[in-house]
This record gives sequence, C-alpha cells and structure tokens, in this order.
Amino acid sequence: MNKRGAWTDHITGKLIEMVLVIAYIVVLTMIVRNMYENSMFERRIIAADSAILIDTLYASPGNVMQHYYNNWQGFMISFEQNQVVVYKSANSSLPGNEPRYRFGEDTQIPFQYSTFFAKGKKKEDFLIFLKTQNMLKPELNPEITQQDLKQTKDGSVVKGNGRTILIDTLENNDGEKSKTAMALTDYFQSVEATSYFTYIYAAKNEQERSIMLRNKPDFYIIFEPSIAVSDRFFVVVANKSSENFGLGIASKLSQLAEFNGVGFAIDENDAMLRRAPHAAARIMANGDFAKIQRNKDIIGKAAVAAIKGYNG
Amino acid sequence: MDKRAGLFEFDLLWFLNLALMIFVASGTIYLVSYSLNSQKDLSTLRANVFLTRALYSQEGLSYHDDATGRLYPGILDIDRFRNKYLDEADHYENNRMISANISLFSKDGILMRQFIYNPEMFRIWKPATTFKDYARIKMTRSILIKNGNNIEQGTIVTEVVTPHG
Repeated sequence: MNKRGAWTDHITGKLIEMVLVIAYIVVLTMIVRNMYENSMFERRIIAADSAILIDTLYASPGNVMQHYYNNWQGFMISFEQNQVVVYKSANSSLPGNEPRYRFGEDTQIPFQYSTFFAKGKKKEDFLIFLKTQNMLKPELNPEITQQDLKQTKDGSVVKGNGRTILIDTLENNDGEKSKTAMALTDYFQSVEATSYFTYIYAAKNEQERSIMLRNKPDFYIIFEPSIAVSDRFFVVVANKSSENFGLGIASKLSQLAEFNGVGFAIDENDAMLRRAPHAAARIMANGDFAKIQRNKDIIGKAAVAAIKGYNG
Repeated sequence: MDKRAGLFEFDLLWFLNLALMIFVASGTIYLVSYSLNSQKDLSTLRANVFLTRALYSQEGLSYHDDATGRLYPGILDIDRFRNKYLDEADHYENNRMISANISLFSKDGILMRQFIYNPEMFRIWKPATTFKDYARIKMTRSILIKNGNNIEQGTIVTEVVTPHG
C-alpha cells in the first residue's frame, strides 16, 4: 500500500466515525425529544397517582377535602367510570392509547365524573377532591379562599373531620422508579399510621408542630413526633425537642382501651424520625414480634416497649 | 513485511475503535430509552390499597355503629365478612384490576371465615402468577374481631392476585 492509499483509508475511517457520531447524536436527540413531546411517562404518573388518591380517599371513613398538587397543567384529566384518563391536550379526547388507571368506586358514595383541562403552564389551577358521606367529587378551582390553603402543605388534606388520613402525593418523587415505588409504599403505610389521629388531638398543645385544619380545632395532623400504629399497638418516636409532647401522646394513648400496648422512645439524633412511622407500622402490622425483639434500633426499642406493655 | 504489519495494526486499531464507539453509543441509547420508558409496577401498592379500603372505609368490613355513626377501623365485624360488602365498597363495573382470597383466623389460627373477592378472575389469574405478568401478594394483619357482643383477637390474611403494572 502506498502513502496515498493509507491516507485515503485514514480519511475514510474518520468519515465513517463522523457519520456514526452524528447518527448517534440524532438518534439520541430523537428519543429524548419524542419522549418529551409524548409526555406519556408524566401522564401515566398522574393517572396512577390520582386514581390511587381516589382509592385512598374512599379508604377514609371521615369527610376529607384533598388538594391534588401534582403538576397536571397542560393536560386534560378525565375522571370516568372506574378510571382516570389523562389526555395530552383538550383536543385529543379520542380514545386511544392514552394512559389510564383504574379505581374502585363505593356504591354508597358515588363518584361524580368530570373532565378538567388546565390551560396554564403555571400551577395556577388547583384541583380539589371532596369526599363526604354521600359522594366523592373532583372540583377545579372551587370557591375556597386562600386562607383555606394557607396552613396546609401542598398536596395535603385541606380540611376534614372525624378520622381521616395523611396523604402525600408523588409530587417530589416522580421521575425515578425506585423512589416512586418507595413513596407509594410509604404513602399507604402512612394511611395506617395516621388513621387514629382523632384520638390524640386532646394531647396536642404545640401548634407550631402541626397543621391545623380549618374550622376544626379538634383535629390536627401531626408530623412530629413520628407515630406508628398497628391494630393493637402504638409506637411513638420523638426527638429531644419534642420529648414532652411525645410522652404526652404516649401517655394519652396508653389510657385508651383499644390499644394493647404503647411504646415510646427518644431518637436523639433524628436519624430514624423520618422513616419511623412507616417502618414501625410495617413491623407491627406484620406481627413479626421475633423480628422486633431482635431489632436494636430506636424503632425496635419503642416497639418492644409496646409489646412489653401488652404482655405486662 | 513491515508495511503489512503496519497495515494490520492500523486495521485492528480502527476496528477496535469502531467497536468501542458502537458499544458506548448503543449502551447510552439503551440506558436513556430504558429510563424514559420505565413502567410503574404498582401491584404491591394496589394490594395495600385494597386491604386498607377493606379495613378502614365506611362501607368495608370494619364494625360500624349505626347509632353513633362511628366506624371502628381494625375491628372487623364478622357479620360483614362477606364478598357482598367488599364488592359494594370497592366496586368495579367491569375489568377489575384486583382479585383476592381473604381469610379470617382466630387467635389460635383456626379459620373462621373465608371468601374470594372477584372470584372469576382469581381462578384465572392465580395459576398465571407463576409467570411474570401477574403478582401474588400475601399480607397478614392483626385485627380484632367483633363476634356478637364479644371482641376477640385474630388475623386477616389476604392473598391478592393482580396483574403487574
């Protein structure tokens, strides 16, 4: 091979490399752009999230008003019989492969079907779910003053009475499969963990640690200290700053006949506080007492205290 | 001889370079596509929701005092432990997403009551749980059972069978 031949081969090789690199960039851009324009992933999340939220509201025995705060702006969300369908826009309402998710209805509490479209890109339209003893309905921008929402966390219960539940949405967790799955799992552990909150309002005296629900001074949702409940046992885990408050709750609960044992523990470094209610609820709900006995962490200690209280 | 060896080395390097580039490019495209297309498997969550509704909703299996309107979550009314009530509390006109075998055991482990929610699909789906399309999720909860005027300890065991996704 002469020099010219070698040089030609070299140029040809580089050209092929360039073509491949360009093809690679084009394909990658197309995939990402297609997914972005399709918004299938986002709509799938919204459909599943809102359908599960409806299921959760049905699981609440009391009346609940829930602010749904997932970013659904720009989409059309349709609540139909036993399903939520999220359309790409108001013009694409023809049935097709639109993401949908099913939910069960309560025959005694009929669901009011409706369709909403939020025009703006900003989060200026808010969707409210209202569950009463007679119906469950979604409403777009109902006449609720900002005062109603003022003291509530985004995506949480606006107001309610009787026993109700603490609800978190996927808002901060979408986009990552594992985090979403964890959030969803914890989400429903939270439902269990907080379904007894009406019992503990009497022990509540630190308003700054709670979210007070409008016009319901007898009802609070408490974030600290963390509390877990199984069907027979209650676990309270407090940090140092909320020790007295936690003890007050534990003391109050121990007087209730419905709980066989109440456990209390101080988490001095706050490390367990975030996951305490979920983990303890899971351990105790499963009734795996042997596992609890072996568990040396703060949750385990509180759970053991609850069991010991039960066993005398 | 030297020229041949040089040519061979040049080709080998070029092919290695090309192969590496194709490998990296396809790997990146695969990873991007995989992460963008990832599906949510909510079957475990769905099973939890189902049990939560059965235990805590007003029309579910829990004891409800009609006089005061108070519901006692976690205290199962043995008279309500039937498919009829759960079907009304968690009702689908068609295409249900979930089926379950629900058993109530006494503290001593004796089976007290049992029923199947969505029995038609349960019988079809359960054998299919050996394949990846269907999930079988078994959950056990400690509960109190209201049996007449007595309250006794027990467990509810739910075997949920549902499609993945």
